[in-house]
Amino acid sequence: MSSQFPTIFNSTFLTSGLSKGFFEFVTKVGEARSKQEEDRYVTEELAYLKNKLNQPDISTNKMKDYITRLVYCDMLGHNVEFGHIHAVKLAQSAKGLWEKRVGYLACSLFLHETHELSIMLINTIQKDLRSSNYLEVCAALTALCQLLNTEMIPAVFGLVEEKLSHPKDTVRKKAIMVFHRLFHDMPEMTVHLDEKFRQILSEGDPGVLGAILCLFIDLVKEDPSKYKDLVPVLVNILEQVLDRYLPRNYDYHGAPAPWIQVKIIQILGILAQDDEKISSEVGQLIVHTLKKSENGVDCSYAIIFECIRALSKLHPQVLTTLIHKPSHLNPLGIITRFLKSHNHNLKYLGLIALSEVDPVWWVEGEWWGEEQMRVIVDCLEEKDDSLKRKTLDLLYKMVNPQNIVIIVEKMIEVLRTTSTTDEFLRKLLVERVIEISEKFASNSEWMIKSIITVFEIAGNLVDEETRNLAFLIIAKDTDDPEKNSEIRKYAVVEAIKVLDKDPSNVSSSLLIWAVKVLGEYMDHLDKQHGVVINKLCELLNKDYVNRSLQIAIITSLLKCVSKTKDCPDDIMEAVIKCRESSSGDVKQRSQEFVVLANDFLLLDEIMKPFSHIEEFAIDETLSFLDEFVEEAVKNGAKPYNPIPIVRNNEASESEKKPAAIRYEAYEKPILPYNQSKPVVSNILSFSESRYEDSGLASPPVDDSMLTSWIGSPPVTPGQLAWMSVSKDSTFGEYEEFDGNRQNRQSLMASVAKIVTSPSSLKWSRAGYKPIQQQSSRNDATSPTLSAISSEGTSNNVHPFLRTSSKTTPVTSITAKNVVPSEKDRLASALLSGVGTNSELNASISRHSVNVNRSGNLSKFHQRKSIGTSPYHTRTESTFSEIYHNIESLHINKNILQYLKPLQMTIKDYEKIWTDLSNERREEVMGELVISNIEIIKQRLEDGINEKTNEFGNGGFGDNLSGKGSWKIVEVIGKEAIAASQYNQMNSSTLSLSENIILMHFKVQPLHCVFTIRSDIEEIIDSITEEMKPYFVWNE
Amino acid sequence: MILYLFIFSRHGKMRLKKWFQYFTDKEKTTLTTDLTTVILSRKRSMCNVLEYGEHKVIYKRYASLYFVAGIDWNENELYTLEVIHRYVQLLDEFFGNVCELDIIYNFDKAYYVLDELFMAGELQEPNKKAVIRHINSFEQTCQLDILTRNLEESIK
Repeated sequence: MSSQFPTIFNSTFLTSGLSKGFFEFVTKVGEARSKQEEDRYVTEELAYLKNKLNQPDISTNKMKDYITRLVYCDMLGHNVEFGHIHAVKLAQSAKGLWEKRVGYLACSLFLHETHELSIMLINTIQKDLRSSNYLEVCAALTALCQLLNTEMIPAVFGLVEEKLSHPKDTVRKKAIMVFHRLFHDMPEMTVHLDEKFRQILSEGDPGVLGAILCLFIDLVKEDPSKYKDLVPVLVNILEQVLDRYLPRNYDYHGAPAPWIQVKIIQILGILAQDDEKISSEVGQLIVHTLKKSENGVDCSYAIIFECIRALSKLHPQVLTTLIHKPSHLNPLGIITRFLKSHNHNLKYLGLIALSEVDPVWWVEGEWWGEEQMRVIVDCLEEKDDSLKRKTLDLLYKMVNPQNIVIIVEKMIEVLRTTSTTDEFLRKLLVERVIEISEKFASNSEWMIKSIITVFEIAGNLVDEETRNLAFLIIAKDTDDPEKNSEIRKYAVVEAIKVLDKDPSNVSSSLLIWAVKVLGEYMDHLDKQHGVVINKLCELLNKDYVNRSLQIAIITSLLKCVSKTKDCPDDIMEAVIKCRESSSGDVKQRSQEFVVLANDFLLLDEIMKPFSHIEEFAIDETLSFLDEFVEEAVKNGAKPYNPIPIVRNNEASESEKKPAAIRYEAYEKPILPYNQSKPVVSNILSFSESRYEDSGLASPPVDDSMLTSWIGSPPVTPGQLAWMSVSKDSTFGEYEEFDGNRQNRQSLMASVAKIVTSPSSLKWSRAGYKPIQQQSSRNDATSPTLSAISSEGTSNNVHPFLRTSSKTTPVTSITAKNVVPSEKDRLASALLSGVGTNSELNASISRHSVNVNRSGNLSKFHQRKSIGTSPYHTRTESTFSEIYHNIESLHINKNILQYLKPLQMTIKDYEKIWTDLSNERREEVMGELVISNIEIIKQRLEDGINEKTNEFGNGGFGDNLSGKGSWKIVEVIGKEAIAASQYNQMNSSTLSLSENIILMHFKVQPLHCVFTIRSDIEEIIDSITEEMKPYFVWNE
Repeated sequence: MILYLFIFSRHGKMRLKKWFQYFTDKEKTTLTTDLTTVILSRKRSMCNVLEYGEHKVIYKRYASLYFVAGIDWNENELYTLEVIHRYVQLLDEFFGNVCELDIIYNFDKAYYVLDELFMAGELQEPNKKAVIRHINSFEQTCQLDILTRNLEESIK
C-alpha cells in the first residue's frame, strides 16, 4: 500500500510547485487511523499555519503553499476563518498565473457572495478582466461566478458584457455563465442583452451553444411568451444535432451531443405548454428524438426522460394524436420497459417518467395495464427508500374516489414507519393524506378514523391550514342530509374519545381539532351535552393547554352556549379565569365570551351555524361604507386622501441598491391625511371614568420593572382594546363598541360577502372524467363505503376490495382473476378508475376542466392570502377577526392595531415604532424628556393611573393643551406604552374635543423619554418648525 | 442546477467539496455528515438517487470514491448522473488513469478540472477534448511561469 504513495521525487509532484511540508502533512492525515488522530494533525497544522501567515514578508511562493494547505483543512471541515484574508491578499498580490489561480480558488472556496471580504476582490477581478492574457480573464470569470454579489455587479458588468464577443470561445462561454448566474440574482439587469443572447444562439459554436442554452432555460422559464419565436431556431438546431451535423467530439456514448438535446427539449417543453400551435410544431420532433434514443444507453435515458416530460406538457389535443396508438408505436410504451427493468436506476426512471404523465393518458390496452400496476405495487415493498418514495408520489397523483381508501392506508403505513428525523417527508405525507381525504372522500367514518390516526402519529407536524382542511372533511355537505348528521355524530363521538384520553399525551393539533368538532356539532349528540361542556371547562385551565387550544376551547364553549341557551356558572368561572391570561387573544375571546354569554340575542346573531362551504368575496372597494362616509362628510369631515402604499417596493429597491451613504438631505415630510376611519376609530372614544371602574387588573408593576426590565416584563396586553367593554357588560355598552348595531352587521355581511357558485361545491377531482360519470360513480361508491364501515373495517380481508369488483366492473382484471393474490388485488384496487375511460372526449375535456381546477385553486390561494379562511370567519366571527380582515385589506391602520400585537421583542417594538413615525408622521407628536427619573418611576409604581398629568403645554404647538389621565397599556423591556385622553382646542370653533393619545415611555439610564403620538389629523396641521426636531428619533 | 458536489472515500473521508450555492456552515456540516452516512449504508444495487429534504442527491461510486451531487427538485436526475460521469472521465484523462491518491495529493487540480467543467452549477462545456485542452494550456503556462522564475532566481 505504502509503495503506491507518491514520493516527493515523483516528477509530477516536483512540477506541482508544492512543498515538502505540504506533502508530509497530506500523507500524515491520509495515514491517520482515527478521526481523532486526523483532527489532531489538522489542528497542529492550523496552529503552524496561523503562526506562519502572521509573519511579515512571506514570499508568494510560500504563501501559495500555505493557502493550499488551508484549502485542504477547510475541505476536511475545519474552521480556517483566520486564513480568509490571506487568501484574498494572495489573489490581490499574485504576480504569476499560478499564484493567481491558487488565490482565486481559495477565495471561491472560502468566501461566498455575501461575505464581507469579497468586496476586496473587486479591483483584482477588474484588472484581470482587462488583461490581454485570456487565461487570466478565464480565472477572473470563474472566480466571479462564485463571488458575484450586488455590490460587484456595477463594477464588472460592462467588462463581462464585452467578453461576450471575445475571440476565444472559452472566454465567451464563461462570460455567458456569469450572466446565467447574474440572471438568478437580478433578472432585470440582462434585459437589454436579449438581442445579443439570441445572436449567440445562432452563431453555431457548439460549446458556446451548450452554455447559452443554460441561460435560455432560465429566460424561458421566467417569461415563455417572450421567446415563442425561438421555436424554429431550436427545432433547426435539434434536427441538426440528430442528423449528426455537430463535430464527433460532442458525441457521448454513441449519442450525438446529448447535453444539447436535453436542454433544447427542456426549452421546447416549456414553450409548448398550453400552446396548441407550438405543440403541433414540436410534437413530432420530440417523438422522433425519443425514438432515436430508444436503443441507447446511459445518457440516452436522460434524453428519454426529458422527452416524456416535454410530451406530457404538450397541449392535450396534440398529445392525443401522438399517443393514441398501439403499444409498439406509442411513445409512452417505453416507460413499461423501464418499469420492468431490474436495474434500480432504470426502474426509478420508469417511476419518475410515469409520474410526469397525467393518469388520464394511462390508457389501458394501449400501453398501460395490470402488468405495470403490479410493478408499482412491488415497488411499495421495495427496500430501496428512493423507489418507495417515488411510488408514494405516484400514488398521490393517481388517487381517485375508487382507490383512495387503499392509498391513504398505504401512506399512513409509511408515515408510521418513517423515522421521526425525516420531518420533510412526514410533513408532506400528513399534508397529502389530509388533502386527498378532503378532496375525494365521500364522508365516511373510516376517513375520520384515518385522520385521527394521522394526527396521533404526527400531530406535531400538522399546521393550521391542514387542520382546517381536516375539519372541512366533516363539515362538507353531501346530498344526503341523514348521512351528514350520521357522520357528524360519529365525529363527535370520536372527538369525545380523544378528550377522554390523557390529554397531556395527545398532540395539541388533535385536541384543537376535537374541540372544534365538539363546538360545531355537539348538537348532533342526543344527550351528554353537560358532560362535554364540563370536559371542555376542565381542559381549559390546565397547565399544559397552550394558547391556541385555549382559544379553540373558548370558541367552542361559546358555540355550545349558543346552542343550549344556557350558561352554567361553572363555565363562566372557567372562562373568567382566562381573562388573566397573558395572551391578548385569549383575553379578548374570554372577554367576548363573558359579554356574549349574557346576551343570547346578540349571540345568536353572531353565531350562525356552520352550514356548508361557502366562498367569500371581499368587497375591496368597501362600498358598504359609502353611506357612512357620505354622512361623515356632510357633518364636516374632510374627504379622504389616499396615501399610496409604496413602502414594500421601496424596501425591496433599497435592498437591491448597493448600500451607500445618502448625502442629500431627506425630503421634507409631506403629511398625508388619513380621514376615512369611520368604523374603528370610534372604538377609542371612551370616557375618563372608564379607567377607574373598568375593573381590569392593573398590570403588576414593581421595582423589577425599572431595575431589571430586560427579562420577561409583566405584559398586560389588549387592555385598551377591551376597556370599552369591560366596564360593565350590558347591551347598551356593547353597542357603543363600534358605533351602532347596524353598522356592525353591515360590516360583517360585507367582509364575508358570500358568493356560492354551484360548481365550486364540487371538490372532487372531476377533471379526469366527464362530470356526469363522476357523479354517478360517487353515488355508486358512497353507499358501499358506509356499508363497509358499519361492518367494521378491521377484518383482514379488505372490504373495499370486495366491493370494488362489484361497483367497478369496468376493470376487467378483477373479473378475470378468480382467486387473486394479495398483490393482484392491491394492484387492481389501485388501478380502478385510473385511465380506464379512454374515450377521446374524456381526455380532451380534461384540458378544459383542468382550467377550472386551476381556477378553483387560485381562488383557494386567494383566500389563503387574505389570511383567514372562510369557514374560520364564519364559525368564529369574533370582532377581532373582523378587524383583522380590515387590516388585511390595508384600508385602515389604527392605533388599535398597534396596541394589539402585544408580544414582541424590544427590537420589533422599536421597529414598529420607528415605522410608524416614518410612515404616519402625523402620529408622532414629539417627545418630552422627563429628567426626574424618580418621579416617573414613582408614577409607574403608584397605581399607574395618573390623573391630571400635564403634558405638551406650549411645546407642541399651542392648540394642544393636554390634561388627562394616563394608563400604562403595555410594558416591553425598558419601554412602556400608555394611553391617555387629552383635550384639544380647536382654534376655529374654540370647542373642546376629546381624543385619545398614545404615549411612549422609554426609560434610559438618567431620564425617561416620553413620546406622544396621536391619531388625529387636525393636529398635524399645526406642526411647526419648532416641532421638527422632535421627529428625529431620539436614542 | 447543481447545488453542491462532493467526493468522499468509502471510509467517509472527504476528498473534494464544492458549493455552488450559499449554505450556512451548520447546513454544510449536517449535509456532509448526513449524506456520507446515508450513502455509505446504501447497497450497490440500489438506485443512485436520494431525496434529501427539499432537494435531490445523485451519487455514484467509482472504485473507492463516491461522487455526490445535490440538485434542484426539477432537475433531470439521469442527466446529472451522466454529468458526474463526464467529470470522472475528465479526471481520468487529465491524470491518466486516475486513482484516489491522485485526487488526495492533487486536490487543487481536481478543483481546476471541476471549475472548467462546471460554472454556476451548470455544465459549461460538453466537449471533453476542449476542456482538457484548456486545462493543459493553463498547466503549461503555470509551469513555464515557475521555471522562468526559478531560472531568474538562480541567475541572480
